[in-house]
Amino acid sequence: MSARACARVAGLLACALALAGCDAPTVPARTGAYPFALQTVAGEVVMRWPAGGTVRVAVAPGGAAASNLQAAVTAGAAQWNAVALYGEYELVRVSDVADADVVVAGSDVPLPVDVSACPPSSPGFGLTTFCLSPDGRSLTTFPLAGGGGHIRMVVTVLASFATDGAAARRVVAHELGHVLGIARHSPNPADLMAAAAPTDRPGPADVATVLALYHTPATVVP
Amino acid sequence: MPLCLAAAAGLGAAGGAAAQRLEVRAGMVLSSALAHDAIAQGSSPVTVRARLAPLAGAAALVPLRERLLLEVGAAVALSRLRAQDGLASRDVQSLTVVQALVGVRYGQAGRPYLRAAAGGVRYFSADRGVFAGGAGVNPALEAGAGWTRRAGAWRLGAELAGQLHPFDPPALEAAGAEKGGVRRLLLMATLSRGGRT
Repeated sequence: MSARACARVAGLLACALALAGCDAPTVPARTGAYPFALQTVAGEVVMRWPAGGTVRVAVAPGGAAASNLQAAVTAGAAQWNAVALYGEYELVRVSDVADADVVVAGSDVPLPVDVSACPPSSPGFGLTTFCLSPDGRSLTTFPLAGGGGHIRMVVTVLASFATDGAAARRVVAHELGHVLGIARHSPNPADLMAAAAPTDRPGPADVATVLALYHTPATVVP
Repeated sequence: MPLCLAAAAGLGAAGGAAAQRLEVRAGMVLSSALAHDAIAQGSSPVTVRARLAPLAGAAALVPLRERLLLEVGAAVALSRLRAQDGLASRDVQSLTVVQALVGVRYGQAGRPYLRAAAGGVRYFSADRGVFAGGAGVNPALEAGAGWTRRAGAWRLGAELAGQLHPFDPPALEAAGAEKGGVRRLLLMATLSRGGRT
């Protein structure tokens, strides 16, 4: 092939590149998202952490189930983080409750925060407690027993579940979904966010819901 | 095009080491979107792209015949992945884009030249989000035009190139992404030494 022919090929390639209608990969809308808004006396609100932020979760020290809960938080965080394709959030387990935004505790362990202003009710398998601030735009902080801290959510896991590794993973993964802001339960009993989670990992509807949540304007930011 | 490259390789061997030229390049890369994601009904769609990034690279140029050079080069761009929806935009994670291309350059010394190349592009980033599970080597085509001018023993130049490659990391495939590609526009200053032309 002559040099002139090669030059022509080069020119054609340049034209092809300039004219290429090749568009970026497109991910179609996910289906199956269920309602995630929090129902309050003032109506529905969308509560989620600031997009792109890190949510620090600590396990309350003490109790026979602390190591189970730590493993469950690590595993649950990894499951939820894996579905955040565009850095919507990151759940991170921290060891010191003073560094945490969320504390996880077995129901038989004294909470390291003062919850007297907004006490948790009795947990079923697990319970996530938080309190809206008076202006309804953020959450109040639960002060650490010694003062300070910035814990805004308390997750309580029934002691009998916390001591069972597999049950602890299911309950904690489910409660982490509430921590992220999924305020309702899935109507599909196969989903992680069903009232009685049958699994420890988010399913397609859970993924669609958490992504929809983080791409919807928030009215309450913890 | 493969015929051109094969011919170029054969003739290059005959060209001799004395005629080889080493060129270093520095510039900027502008990338089209890496992915569009509709997320879910009622939510704000997301577009992710590599931010405008500095690029550095080098290439070896071997004369094949008058006005025709074989070019073997590699370059790296240091960028950040940026996500944007209707609510906000934010940097998600660091992104390094490495490319290796082989091609031909046609032109007369002191006049504009044309080049075409093919090779591979690979994205390196933290193992999460779009890049959870990594990203393989994507075949790439590049075409450009440039110009060089002698300055003593050196040769200074500038080049504008367009590049096209598919982008299908496992995380996007798992999310049900339809196939698509990325266009990159590269603007580079070049500096070379050696060679007869």
